[in-house]
This record gives sequence, structure tokens and C-alpha cells, in this order.
Amino acid sequence: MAATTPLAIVLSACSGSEVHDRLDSGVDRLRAPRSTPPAPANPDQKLVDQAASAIASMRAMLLPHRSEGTVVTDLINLHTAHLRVLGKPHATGAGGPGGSAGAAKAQIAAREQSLATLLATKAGVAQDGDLARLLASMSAAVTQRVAGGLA
Amino acid sequence: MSTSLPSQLQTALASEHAAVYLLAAFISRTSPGRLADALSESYDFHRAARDLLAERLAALGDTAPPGAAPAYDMPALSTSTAVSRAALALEQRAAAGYADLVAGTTGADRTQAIAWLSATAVRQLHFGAAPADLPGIS
Repeated sequence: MAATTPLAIVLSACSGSEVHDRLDSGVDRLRAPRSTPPAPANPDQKLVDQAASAIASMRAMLLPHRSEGTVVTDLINLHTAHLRVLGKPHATGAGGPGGSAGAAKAQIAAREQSLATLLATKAGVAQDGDLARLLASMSAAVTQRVAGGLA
Repeated sequence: MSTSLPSQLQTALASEHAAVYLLAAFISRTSPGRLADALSESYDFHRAARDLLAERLAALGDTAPPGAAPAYDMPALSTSTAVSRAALALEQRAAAGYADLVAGTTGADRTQAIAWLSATAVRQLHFGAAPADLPGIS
């Protein structure tokens, strides 16, 4: 059968009710949307992705140093918890610094402070108030760790 | 946003009045030392926050911002540990208030609230708090 077979020929083998059913379903198909309308874009999605990426990078930087003390372990746990809250528990980032434990600690402190600043900045521009609150709280948590003896 | 900006700021100002009153009382019951220093730092911070909020409300045209109450419920302050615990509770309430202010504001008001949230999270450490995953929220 040719691809352009008229609709009447296709329907000729059908009973009357089948013809109506098929015509109705054809009409329904014409009226139905061709696909599910896309969900409205989340205006904060890019911001969430950027925050999660920064947190994941910080966590990746810390992972090689996890044996160097509970402070580092606590930070890893903090960032893991924050990624989970952001819905990005498996986000990954680049690796950590080399060098001595002391030098790494100084770098970690500087990077953590930068992360706190970034999270505060993102909180400042988030469209959603609850997201702003969450990011500000994350920033405060990181600042708390840095002030508590990491530096 | 369900609450107006002046209302959010008024709530914050009322909390700062209470904080200033209570911290002054805590200081008066504390001998010189690390705890007294931490209380003084906290007092200065909340007094400055109170004044900033009052100025902001005045700039918004609020002619009747909330004033200080004649008195506030005073926790038991029989020992330095009790004072420290009361100060920590005060800072935790402040953190929750600042977090609400972050959620309910935009622009410079939100930026200010974000900074206050971080600062109060750090001060909680001075009063014996363990670091939290989400200060002001949990």
C-alpha cells in the first residue's frame, strides 16, 4: 500500500462504529497537543547549578586531605550536606591542591572563604526568597567553619 | 512575598530592641573576661543593627517604628554557663530572624541581612555553639 493511501480506503474495511471511533480518535489527535508543554523555566536554575558546582569543587579539593584531621572531614560532610539540600548530591568538581599539609590548609581556608562569598553573592540575587535564605545560611555555615579555626 | 518590607524590618527592629536589652543585662551579670568580651561584642553588633534598622524604616517613611518594650523575659543567669547559654539562645533567635529577613527582602536590605546572618553564626561559636550545617534554618 502506498504511503499516501486515502483515509476512506483505509476505513473501508471497518464497521460503521469502528469508522466513527477512528475518525473521532483522529480528530482528538488533531486537537491534542503534540507534546507536553515544557515546564516554566526556573529563573534560579543557573544560580543553583553554579552554587552546586562551586561547592562540589571545594569538596573535591578537600577529599585528598581527609586524613589530615577532623576539620577537613567536617568540611567535606558540610559540603556534602549542602549539595544534598540543593538536590545535587553527586555533583563533581576539580581536584585539590598539592604540597604540604600546612600549605594545603592555608589554601583550603582561602578557598572556603571564597566559597562563602560566592554563596552570599548568589543569595543576594536569587529570585526566590527561600532559596536566598538557604544560600545565605550555607554561606554562614562555611564562614562559621573558617572562623572556628580553619585559618 | 506575603509580608511587606516595612513589616519585615519592623519585626527585625523589635528583635534587636530585645537583644540590646538582654545583652546589657547579661553583661551586668558577668565578670571581666572572655565571656564579657564576647557579650560586649554582641551588644555592640545588635545596637548597631537596631540603629540601622530604625534609620532604614525612617527612610521608608515609617513614622512609628517599634520601640523597646519596658522589659523582656529574663532567663536565669545564676552562673557564667547560664549566661553563655542565654546569649547563645539569643544569637540563634537572631540568626533565624536574619534568615527570614534574607528571604523577605531584596537588594541592599537582603545583602545586609546576609552579612548579619554570617556574623551572628560566628558569634554563636563564642557562646559555645557547635558549627551548624544551616545556621538560622536548623
